[in-house]
Amino acid sequence: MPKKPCPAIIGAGRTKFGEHYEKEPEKLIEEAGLKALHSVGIERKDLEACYISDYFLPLTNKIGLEEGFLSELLELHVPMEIARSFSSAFVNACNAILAGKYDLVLVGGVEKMTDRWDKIRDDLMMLEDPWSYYAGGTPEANHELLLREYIKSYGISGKNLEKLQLALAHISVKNHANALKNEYAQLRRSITVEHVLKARKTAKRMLGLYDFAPISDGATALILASSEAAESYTDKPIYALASGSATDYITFPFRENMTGFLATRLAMKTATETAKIERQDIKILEVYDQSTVMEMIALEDLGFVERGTAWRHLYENFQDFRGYYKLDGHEVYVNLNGGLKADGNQLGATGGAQIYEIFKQLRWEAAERQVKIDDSCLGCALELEGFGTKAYVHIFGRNPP
Amino acid sequence: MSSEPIERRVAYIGDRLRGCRCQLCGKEYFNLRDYCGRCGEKSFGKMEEIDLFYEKGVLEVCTLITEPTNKFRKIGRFIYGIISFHNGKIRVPGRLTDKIIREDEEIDFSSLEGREVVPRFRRRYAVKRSEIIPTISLTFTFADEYYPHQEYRIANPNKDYDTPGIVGYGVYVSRFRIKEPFMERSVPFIDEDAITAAVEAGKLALIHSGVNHRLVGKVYVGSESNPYAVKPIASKVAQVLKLGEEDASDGVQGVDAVDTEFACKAATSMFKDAVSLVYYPRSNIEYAMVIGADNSQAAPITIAYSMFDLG
Repeated sequence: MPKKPCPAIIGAGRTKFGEHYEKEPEKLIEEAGLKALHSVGIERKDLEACYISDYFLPLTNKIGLEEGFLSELLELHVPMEIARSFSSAFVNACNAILAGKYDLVLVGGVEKMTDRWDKIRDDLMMLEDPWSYYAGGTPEANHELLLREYIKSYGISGKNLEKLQLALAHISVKNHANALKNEYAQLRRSITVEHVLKARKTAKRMLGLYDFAPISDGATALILASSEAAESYTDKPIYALASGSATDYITFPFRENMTGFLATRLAMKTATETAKIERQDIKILEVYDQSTVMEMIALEDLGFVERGTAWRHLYENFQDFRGYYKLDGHEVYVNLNGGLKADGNQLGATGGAQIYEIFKQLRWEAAERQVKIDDSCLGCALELEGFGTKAYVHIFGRNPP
Repeated sequence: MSSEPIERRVAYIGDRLRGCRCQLCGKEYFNLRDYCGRCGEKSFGKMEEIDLFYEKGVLEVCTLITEPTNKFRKIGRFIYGIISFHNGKIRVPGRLTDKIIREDEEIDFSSLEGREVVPRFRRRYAVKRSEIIPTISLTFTFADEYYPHQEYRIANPNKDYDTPGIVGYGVYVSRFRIKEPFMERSVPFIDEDAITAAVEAGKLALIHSGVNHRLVGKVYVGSESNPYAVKPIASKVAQVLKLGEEDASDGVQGVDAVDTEFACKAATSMFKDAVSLVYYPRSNIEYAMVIGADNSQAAPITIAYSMFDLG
């Protein structure tokens, strides 16, 4: 029993990520939600509230009142709220539980991007960075510019530049390898460094097809309970020890520093200070790798390595890779589900898949992908909205605070 | 026209690149603001507008775009990057125009980064056909590549003349050529038309003459290839070059703007009109601008020229 109130995850469910042309968005979230309920052994009538997230369903599927669709489908009349990202919904649900308002809440996320296949890149870019969109930018261009700015600022050239590019290629290969063991992942095939390099050569840029996350459909759901209620449902609750979030300018070129994300750094600071934990205890890390660069940058912004050195650490790690990164002496498993790169990148549900993975790993339920960790190990998820415009960092643990 | 409310932003940058500076702390912003984010409430009314239309920026980082978003599909392959003004105080995203990139071309981005660029006024391609042609000022060309960058310095005349005369001119011919056995023809880049050519020529004429843009009382544009069905080119030129007195409250330019059909004949005729207008003592028009601009419909050729009259 925890000494102070703390929200706990007691169940989780998700759909397969990928292209679900034949399913409506509400069907996807229904599937994820029922799986989550089933994993706890409760009925949907037991839920006290729902927090749902989707990034732009009103745009992609012309669904405005998402809650109404769910209410109709589930025949539920409980309070429901909509957020833009899973983490945002999750934080709101945690706050409600901490305030003592609810004891049992469902947090769900859903996205259906393939329904608007021909316009999705315009929509993505217009929402994440309108000025750049109107200047001709594409969603991929910002990642490339970030990488170029990084290389320029830290004076990486010659052999070092080759090492950085190889390290980034290995990130993609590693994530694809992880996704092979994930039955729900979108891209379940192994690739080699040569594939990544060849795609970059075709694109004539530093980042190619295999450096970017795909466009996906999918849904995830978690069941959250207050710490007292959690123990009556399961003997292995995973506690949400702390969350931090921060916001940055929407236009990437207007930001003071373009070699990383300020929002991530601030969110991590808040999260670690609230949870009163050491970064070294984090063993399972799920970062928001919309591109391989973002995984590298995330390791710096989260403080696992010094800024400007992540590429070197990664290159050394990949020389003989054992499934985890050894960063400054401690081991951390990154993106065990395949990350956004291979698991799928369905904006509103992404954070759910990240927390789902941490939940499974910390409970030793991740089957094939299970890594050896002990009870004191922590999990950490980083979710971004837009191109680093908003950042959410969550810390999870087996042991109550 | 798209109903997206965000199009309003584009309308703002469509004409010319502008920013603002806080007079209290000196912080600069791209975009007009009512107050400075750093100084807060006390900076209300203390934001001065800065105009980047005649300035030079630096291309900081760039990348190649091969699969543009739908809005830019017609442009095809282009270089996109981040441009900074005033030593990095203002940074804007931008597209490099007047550059044809072949499919097999290898581009060394680091050789482009750090070079000086100048803003251009160009068309922005929309997805669908619309009667309003969206334009954008977030397009740039390298300052040293052609039409070298010149500062716009307003000169005050120290002498009055009785007879009208030409005080400045500007010529703009697009950069691309088709070579034929006996002649060379100029071809506009895909984002150019008679309006953008007229604006470029007018801009160069203003720079050349040093005439205060506020004192220009009349602008004539002669063209055979007005991209608009109804709207005159001259009104857009007046808007972009800020000719005449500007009504700050609603951004209307107080200038008489007139279009005529045909470039050569009409522009010459308008030139005569302009002379008479400036000479006529009761017109109170000190300066007039005459532009002939064409983007030939049949065979590719674009040429625009502009003149000034002084009274």
